[in-house]
Amino acid sequence: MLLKKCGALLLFGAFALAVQAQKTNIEFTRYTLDNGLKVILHQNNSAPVVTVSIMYEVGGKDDFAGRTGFAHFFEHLLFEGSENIGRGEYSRYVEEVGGVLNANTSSDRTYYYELLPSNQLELGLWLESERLLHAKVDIEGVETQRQVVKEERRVRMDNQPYGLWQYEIFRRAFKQHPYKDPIIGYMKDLNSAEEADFVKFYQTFYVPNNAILSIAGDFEEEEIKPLIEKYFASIPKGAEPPRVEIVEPPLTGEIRDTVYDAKAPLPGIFMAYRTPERTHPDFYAISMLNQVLSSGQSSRMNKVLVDEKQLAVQAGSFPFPSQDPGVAIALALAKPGNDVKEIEISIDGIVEDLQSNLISEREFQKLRNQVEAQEISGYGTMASIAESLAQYEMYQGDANLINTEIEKYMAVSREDIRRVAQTYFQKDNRVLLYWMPGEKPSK
Amino acid sequence: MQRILLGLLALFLVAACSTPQATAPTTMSDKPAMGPMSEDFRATPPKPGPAPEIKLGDFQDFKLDNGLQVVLVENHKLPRVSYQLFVDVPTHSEGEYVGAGDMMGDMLRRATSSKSKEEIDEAIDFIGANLSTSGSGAFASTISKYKEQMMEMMAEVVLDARFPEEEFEKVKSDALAGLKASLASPDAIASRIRQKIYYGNHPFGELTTEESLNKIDLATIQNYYDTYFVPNRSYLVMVGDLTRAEAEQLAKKHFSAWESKGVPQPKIVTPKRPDGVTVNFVPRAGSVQSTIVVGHPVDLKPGTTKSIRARLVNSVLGGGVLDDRLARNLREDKAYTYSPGSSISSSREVGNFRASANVRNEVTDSAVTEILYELARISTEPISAEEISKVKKGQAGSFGRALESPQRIASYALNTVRYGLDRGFYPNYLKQVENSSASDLMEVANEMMSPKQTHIVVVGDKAVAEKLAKFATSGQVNYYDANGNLIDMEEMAAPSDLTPKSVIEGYIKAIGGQEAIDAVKNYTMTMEASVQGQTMSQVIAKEGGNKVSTQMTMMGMVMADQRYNDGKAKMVQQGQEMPDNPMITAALKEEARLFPVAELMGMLDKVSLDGVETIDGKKAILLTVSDDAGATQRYFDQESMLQIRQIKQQGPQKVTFDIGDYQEVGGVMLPHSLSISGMAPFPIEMKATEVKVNTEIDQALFSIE
Repeated sequence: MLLKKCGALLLFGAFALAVQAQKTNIEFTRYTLDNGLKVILHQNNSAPVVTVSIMYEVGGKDDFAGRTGFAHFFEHLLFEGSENIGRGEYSRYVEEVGGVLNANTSSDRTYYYELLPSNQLELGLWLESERLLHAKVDIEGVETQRQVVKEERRVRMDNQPYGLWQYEIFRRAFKQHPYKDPIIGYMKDLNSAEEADFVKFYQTFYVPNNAILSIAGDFEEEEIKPLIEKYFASIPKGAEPPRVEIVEPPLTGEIRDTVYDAKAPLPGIFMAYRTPERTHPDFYAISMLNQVLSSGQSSRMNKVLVDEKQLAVQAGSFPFPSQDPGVAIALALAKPGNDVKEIEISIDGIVEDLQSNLISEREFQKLRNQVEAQEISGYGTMASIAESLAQYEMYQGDANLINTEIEKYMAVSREDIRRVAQTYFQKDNRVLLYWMPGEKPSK
Repeated sequence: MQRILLGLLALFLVAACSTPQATAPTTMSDKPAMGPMSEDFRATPPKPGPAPEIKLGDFQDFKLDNGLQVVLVENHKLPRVSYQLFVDVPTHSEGEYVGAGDMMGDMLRRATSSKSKEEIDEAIDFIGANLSTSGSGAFASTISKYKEQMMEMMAEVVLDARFPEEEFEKVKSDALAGLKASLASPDAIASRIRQKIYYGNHPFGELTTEESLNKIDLATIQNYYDTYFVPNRSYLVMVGDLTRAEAEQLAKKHFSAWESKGVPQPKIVTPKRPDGVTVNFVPRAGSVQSTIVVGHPVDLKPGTTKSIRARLVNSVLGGGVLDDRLARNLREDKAYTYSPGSSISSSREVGNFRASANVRNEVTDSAVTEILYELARISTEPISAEEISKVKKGQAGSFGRALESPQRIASYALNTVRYGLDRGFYPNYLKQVENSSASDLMEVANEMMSPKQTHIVVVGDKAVAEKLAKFATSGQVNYYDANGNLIDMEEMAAPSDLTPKSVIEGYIKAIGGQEAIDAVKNYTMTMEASVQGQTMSQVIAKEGGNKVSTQMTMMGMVMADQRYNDGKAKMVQQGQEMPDNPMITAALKEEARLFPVAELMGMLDKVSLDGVETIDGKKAILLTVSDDAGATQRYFDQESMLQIRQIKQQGPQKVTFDIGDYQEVGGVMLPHSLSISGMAPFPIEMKATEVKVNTEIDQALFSIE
């Protein structure tokens, strides 16, 4: 069963793709408690609201053999209760004061948050400290959440048109690195998870030195610091959590396949080019290359595939930011009566053009304008600021990138965009799937 | 259609969500202590601080000489601006052209005297901005440095609009496809019937239909625009990083030349609540769930104390987040439904209240009983202090959270100016919430929610309908079709003199008689469809009842090639040949029959007669054919006895084939038009361009290597 307020969140890499504009200046304070908990505070008294959040550096990739989907399953379990919070009460406490709460898991991290009226800030600290200090999970809770996660998997993946596309892409793009497995896990692993696994996982990753407490909104810094001390300082430090060290070797050639999907109304094409990690300097040029392809109705894929040739009803592309090297995706759904092969040829044509020719000065200026506009619009709420600060701190070790990262985008040249098209958008560096409606033909 | 697919793609990115549970008792198992001993302060939730003072950002307003009212909400937190031009179109009847306003809104952004849609798109993308339009104006957002350009573009799109023919065709076909898609949803049907029943002849009761959309032409669009888009009934709401001086300058420069003129404001009779309880049922074949809506029109004006209290009461009843009364009763206690709820809305003219739930067929009447029970309880018994305190806290919290959004503050500002509210209404909103007592709330509930004068609307399987008659003051259930037309169920019962056999015989006679059918050895049919501006053509050839060939081409390319020849089958889709598959072979064997309905005579045990339904205003007899592949519904026009519709399960979808334009060819009546819906995200309309009977057919068409 999924509750009606179930939040919809990213499966893999949950970055604010936009970057900070020069004009915005998000001030914050950053410090570390003795137990290793990082704290980031952004005081902003313009509305009587506050976001309390914790990001843990543990995600889908941090599973152990035969236990895929653990980080996400665990996220569910940590709403079950604690020594002092009864079952189901996490949401009751928050909703009764007019707040909202939720959490999400990507392949790299798990994020919990409460949006509260500012006079309930301490409630948020209490709830999050309970979760970190002594969460409580009983057999009944495990069984309930196991059913919930399985239902979630059915609803979001198995019964959804195109719902398995990420899984089908990643299991082909990665053979060794755990990005190959679905974040939500395999059914058999969900069925076999045991209580001992949970204890081990909790003790390994849910330690203050693996977490960032990020708070944004209406408070006074000098008042909040003692409260943070009160709720979090006594939580004992843990051992340094293990990190994934597997390095995925490069693809040795194009991987092509056809996937059949009885629920899909239209044929589609999904491509994934292997790209470097989020912290790699080329990330910015790759991100802007994706904008050339599909940002706005006048972008290349929209113009060529949807308007001019009318091959597709929809086309898109985006980088999939990740802590370890990942992928950039391009996809399109065919207009009825069109062949996906034609779409593939057209996309390849667009990419080849970007590999051989520089984009025009006007198109380049459009990209820069879009980056700036998206950025400014990206930080309108305390929730988005709290999450971005934590994200920048966790992935890149520098929360201040929220203010300065736009400079990195602005440093990208037209030549850089052509260069990354040449370097990464090669056929032998991609997985390409035809997505066909209907049952797989029997042999 | 774009919207459907966007929704689909949105799901791509969606995955993990936490779902806190609120049910089931617990037995906590031992778990190793994972931290230090609990400190005492941890045992109970912390006390909240003093309630924050909620300061509503102020707004300014001024008027241009032509009557345009400008509202400014300054907010310099981020360097961005948004503009809304809200045209307060008076409530009016659209008569035969229902849907014209919405269609005008879709047309608005598609051309100006100097720009095409492509040029408008490019200009907006270039500055990373957004611009959308509707039947009541336009909305734009951008970053501060383009505030001038953006205003210029928005003004141009709204004031210098052109409505080109080719864009109109796209907009119209999208509107028709959207309507057709919505009629597949029981919630959408319930909402249409509800409108019709609550508001009757009032403009709120007018429903967009295929007929009304088809009547709309460019002149209707132009007329709507010319009549209602005037400055003297419009508001320009500017939000964000702007000063008063800038706002005045921008508004004057771009909008002062807009000429004011009078707008007709028809007198309209306000709809009233019914005297008693009515029960209104829309039969929907094959429903496994009933969609229930209990409600009625209410006199509730925006910006009043009563509207604040009504919202509070509604939170207690069914508008809460987690455990309001309807959820506790219908979901947690009875487990009838997953998401019951209620809502109440205010309006200058007439608002409405409604409580709703989707429940499985067998508990339909029980669920109605419980909803009526909760309405009676909330309108006659005082609400407990605990419930009141909970909803008050909840509303204070959500009101405060919403203030983060400058758009929300702007909507309050617009309401204040548009409805002429006291400037203190929104700033004092939470005080009014706080000051509402149990008896205040009961008074409002008694006026707004009492179940003694209400309409019960249910969409579902007609087998559950008669059990609902007991709720009606008249003791009668009113039956409606999806367009809100009353239907007479007695007439809808299958006439007692009809049997499956007599219907099929009637059909055989109607298409020319058994002898004529027997004389048909083969036929070919060439059909064409326009699929979003491109022509798709399909040639079907059948011979001897055991051979069929279907070739579908588009832009000279063969999209699909299906053949069946006496036991062997071949299917090529998009250039890929499907390997042998017994399902495909069986389906194509079926296709090869020359007159499949006539052949039902040999399998009458699999055919049942399931009553009469209305299709396009005509009565149609329903035969259901059940075989291994599932059930197929075939509808026959009761007058002509020709088959006019077939509904068939194809994979995960229910596909509807509307069959028409029968013409005589070679002694038999063959259909010349076919509309297929449910297969693609939009209907495919096929017209026959050539039909031939008993001619020489190139046997290569049937050949399978």
